[in-house]
Amino acid sequence: MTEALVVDSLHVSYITQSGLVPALRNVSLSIASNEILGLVGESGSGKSTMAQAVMRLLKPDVATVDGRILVDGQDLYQLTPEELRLTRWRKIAMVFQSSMNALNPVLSIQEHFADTMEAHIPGITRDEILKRTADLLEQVRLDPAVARSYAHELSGGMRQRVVIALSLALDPSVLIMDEPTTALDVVVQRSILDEIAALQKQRQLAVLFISHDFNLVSGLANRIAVMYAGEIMEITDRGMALEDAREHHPYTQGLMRAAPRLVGTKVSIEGIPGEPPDMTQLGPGCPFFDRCPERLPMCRTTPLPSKSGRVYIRCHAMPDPVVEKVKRP
Amino acid sequence: MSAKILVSTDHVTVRFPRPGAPDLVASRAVSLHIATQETLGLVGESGSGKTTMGRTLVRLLTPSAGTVWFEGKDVTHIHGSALMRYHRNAQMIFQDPFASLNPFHTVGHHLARPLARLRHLKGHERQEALDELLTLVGLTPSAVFREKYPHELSGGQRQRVAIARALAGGPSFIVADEPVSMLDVSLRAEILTLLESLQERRGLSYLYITHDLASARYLSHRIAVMYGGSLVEIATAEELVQAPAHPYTRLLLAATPGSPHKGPLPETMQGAPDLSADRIGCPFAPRCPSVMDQCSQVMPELKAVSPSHQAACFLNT
Repeated sequence: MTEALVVDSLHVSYITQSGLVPALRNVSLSIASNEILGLVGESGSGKSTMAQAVMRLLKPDVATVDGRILVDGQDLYQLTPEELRLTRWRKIAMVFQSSMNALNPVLSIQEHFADTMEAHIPGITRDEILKRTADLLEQVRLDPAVARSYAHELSGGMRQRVVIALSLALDPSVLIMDEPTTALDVVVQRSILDEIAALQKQRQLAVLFISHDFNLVSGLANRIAVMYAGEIMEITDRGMALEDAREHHPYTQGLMRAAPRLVGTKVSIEGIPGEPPDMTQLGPGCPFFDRCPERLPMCRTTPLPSKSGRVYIRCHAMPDPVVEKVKRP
Repeated sequence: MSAKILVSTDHVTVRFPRPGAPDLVASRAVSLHIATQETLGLVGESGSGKTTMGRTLVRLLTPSAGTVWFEGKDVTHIHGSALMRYHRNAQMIFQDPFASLNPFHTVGHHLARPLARLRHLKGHERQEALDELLTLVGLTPSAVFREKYPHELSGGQRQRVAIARALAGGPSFIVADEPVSMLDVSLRAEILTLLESLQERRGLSYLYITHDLASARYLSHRIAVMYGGSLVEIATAEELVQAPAHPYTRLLLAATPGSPHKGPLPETMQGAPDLSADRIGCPFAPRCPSVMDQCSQVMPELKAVSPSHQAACFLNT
């Protein structure tokens, strides 16, 4: 299995008037060229910062970035601006949170595709652009005639499909999707998710799928990374069956118990008492300490251990997940 | 649960005029009722008419046709002081706690207004009622929260203020319009369980408007499903989730995150329902995999599937 995207010990802090405010702390993950990694977290946990840092969209006067982002083995932060321009969209593309704002209202859909292709494929002909646009639109189940429309003439679901087609215009190997279906009705959302899953298989894409909706990600992703206060607490490849809650990080357990269930017997829900920490006042220990039912005295002062690998749990009170049960003689 | 009906609608239709086009019918002859201490979940996609029904029930909107009943009295066209008295009994919680509170006013001010206007409380009595409300919704110590401004509160705390404000007049009926959809999962559960415990302690009835079937199942005794302005199915929460009878409800269930459904969705095309006044037939007919000739001509009536379950579909006749 080849790793299309590797994020290694990523630290991001925003530069504010009152000093540096951490947004991502010691984040490590990798995504193979044929899988979807779901990244879930609550507001302010650093999900969108993650997307922007991976795309190298954070300007040096806005945030400091430490660590490595490897796309097909190449460190994005070592590239010159021209090399970066050629890598973005060709190797790594992104679907933004709000399709409404991602499309330019005075350009037709066709012109969006033409702009993207002309900027990255020197010498591409008009005919070729038209043909490729039509192909891409069909792949996201849109009528190719949509190319002549403007954003305001399309429904939210159609706009989101256009943005997905646009992200695939240069056949990237890594796709970052930041809440691509938020604000859509559930039926439209589900059909777009089905298309994302099909495209991912067909094109062997590595997808980082960012969402606040645990249930939604469970149905789509091969693995799920759970983020809290800028840190990945757990990466799991297990299902989210409530019976197995104890095998997860205490924060993940809290999320699982907080969400009402659609199927199965009706179970009571409970919130996680307290609120996420103030990122300007973080202590040295686990950021979940104040809300954690499993906390130990050491958790307040001892930083979470650095971990990498396909699955892991970062918790002083929990053992690592058993990856494979090997029978010993 | 008492079977006494607290609030009900009888063939309520709400039309909005559109220049140069037939009227937009946001809700079409909808009849439903809510019993004392009952929660009715109202689910549907955007444009289904669920918020229009909620606003009509608390009389923020006046229906174009049909009747709204509260405690056996016709409240469809009341206004002035009668409407003010009605708002002691019927209140609303809005979706966006960031937009529903005034950034220039303290929490105390937000609660003092309805206590003065709806319950005519003054001075010390008002202060006591205010502290009691804050304690009731878990904003303690109340002396601290009283003085805070909305920007000093988290989303969950703001929604607690909105709930306290809705409770200020001492209502028996609350319309909660997507009260948790803007909140994070861990806070959502806290607000849902707060609504649950307030129902018990205050004997409240709720209309719980949501697009999320899982939370509707959690909070509601019965669930009603709207599509294109029409009520298409209504049943006890468990019956609706486990044995849906209307093809739209089946589609909604299959599409909801957490559903075990695999494979293509049970619909023939995607698209929004036609809300114009000259539409005839079932609003779901263009997308329905079980569509029959009569569906595009006649809107089926709600018919009993079981004693606690009705659906408006020709499949059930």
